[in-house]
Amino acid sequence: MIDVRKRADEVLERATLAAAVFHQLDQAETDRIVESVARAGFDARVRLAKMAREETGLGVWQDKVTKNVLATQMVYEDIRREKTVGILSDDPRSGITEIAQPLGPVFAVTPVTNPTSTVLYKVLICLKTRNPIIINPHRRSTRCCVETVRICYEAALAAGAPEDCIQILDESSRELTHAVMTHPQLALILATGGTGLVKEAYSSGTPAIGVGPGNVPVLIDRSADIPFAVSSILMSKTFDNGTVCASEQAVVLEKAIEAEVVAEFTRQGAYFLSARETALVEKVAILESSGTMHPDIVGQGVPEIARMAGIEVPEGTRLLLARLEGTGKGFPLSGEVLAPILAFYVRPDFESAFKLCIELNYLGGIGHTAVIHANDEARVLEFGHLMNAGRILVNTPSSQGAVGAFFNPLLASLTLGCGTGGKNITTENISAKHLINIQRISRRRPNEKWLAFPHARLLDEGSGWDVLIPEYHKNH
Amino acid sequence: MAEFEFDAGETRLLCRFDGRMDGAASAQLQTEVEERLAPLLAAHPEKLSVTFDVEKVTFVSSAYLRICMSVAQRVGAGRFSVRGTNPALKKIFLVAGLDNAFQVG
Repeated sequence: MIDVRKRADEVLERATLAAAVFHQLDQAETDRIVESVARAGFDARVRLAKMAREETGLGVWQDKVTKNVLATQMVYEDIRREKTVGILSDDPRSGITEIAQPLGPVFAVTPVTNPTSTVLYKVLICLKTRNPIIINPHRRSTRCCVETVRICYEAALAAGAPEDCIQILDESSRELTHAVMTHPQLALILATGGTGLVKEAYSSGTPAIGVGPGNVPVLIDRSADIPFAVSSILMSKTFDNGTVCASEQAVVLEKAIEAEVVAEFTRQGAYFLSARETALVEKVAILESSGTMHPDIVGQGVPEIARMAGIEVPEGTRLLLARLEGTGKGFPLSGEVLAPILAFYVRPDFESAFKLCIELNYLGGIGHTAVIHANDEARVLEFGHLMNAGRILVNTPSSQGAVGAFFNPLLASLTLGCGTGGKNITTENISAKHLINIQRISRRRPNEKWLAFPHARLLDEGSGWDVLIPEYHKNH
Repeated sequence: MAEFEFDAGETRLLCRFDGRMDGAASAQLQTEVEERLAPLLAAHPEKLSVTFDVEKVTFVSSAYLRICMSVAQRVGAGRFSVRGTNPALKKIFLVAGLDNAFQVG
């Protein structure tokens, strides 16, 4: 049993020294380090993907390669030209000069579903902002994360990074995690993981950027190109066996297009479960005690799920669809399931389908992501206004679209802010720009209106807005 | 390029540094400081004071900061100090939290 307090002190002492040394690096020196690590991570993308798949038993290694590409090449493309050191802007008119400062040691919690990619991404955005990073891997992905850190750290050192700029807690425990999260020398927690862990980060007293859970509804509107929409949903929900928290969880459509959508899903390799089969899948997918997804189902392919549930599906089936009538208790598959299982809802008309999407959105996925397939811009806007989601994706596969880079110019990221609905501070995709303190040198630029205003009149209780504000705006 | 200069008295050791105290320079410095520190510390364990003059230093690495911490710990509280910091270097020592361990002037 390690002395967790002592271990936390050691880790933070090293990180604090690295933070001090980082202050001396200029933009060019910083960028050299970032490029070196991005290259090394990119070159190791296949090996790390295979390691992650082998160690965790989750997902599809080929898709994990894509995630590693997102985390290295795509993140690098986003941040490479970004100014993160020294003067960010200088406006002579306002007299304000903005200066970037690093935050200090960052504690990065990483999930079992995207282990190596999340490490690569967090390392890059921390190095770009001159913040030392301490990785806390999920216990089921320690080996592949240790190897990812080794590759990044060697590349960083070779390019002139401070010693201990990247560390990993390869013996992590709840107690050690807590000790690091609450350590006075820690500057920020970058928490990507389960709800409990994110909540612990927020409760630690250290500033934290977290994520919220997803329960992504996808509305297929009658104006959509249906074969294209179905193809997008399949591409997304089968990607890495559905482990992306932004993957679709429920398909919603109106009755008028049901036949076409069902035929298209079937043609493209999805299988509609019978009521009996749905009940069997529910039993293995959802924990009865909590109503949340069963850890054993996460990241499994259709053959494994079918075997676990004791059902037979046609060979080559890529996705399981469960017809549901309602949401919440009594309809276990209406919540988040990170596996190729989708709830399927048909409603009489657009309005009731839309209302159901809002219901699903508020059923455990507030602030995360919502999807609409439509070619009617008015409906897209209506959907965007009423959904509570940081990302409203249009005609886009959600897993690949929410993370940016591939289907839209959203920031390439593996930490998706969910706004206050998801108990987060931002709805943005988290990147380097969120990891700097911006200081403002503000030079004297007197407010002439304020100087000309007769201040004594403010002391007169009888003068209100209607009298004083015109006086303030008067042209002398 | 880093340069070191040592000025040792019976109960004091003044170390002057010039240039970049990066990892390689610090590794070399570690040996040289040890060669001078060990005999003085053995002779006057309670009286020896050590000063690092960093007036001409342009960069410090984690390894250099660790040498400062180690020497401060060995000679005892109040008998190790760093002097000659410019404002940027002063900030480095403060960010590292080392002003709690020894005097940074």
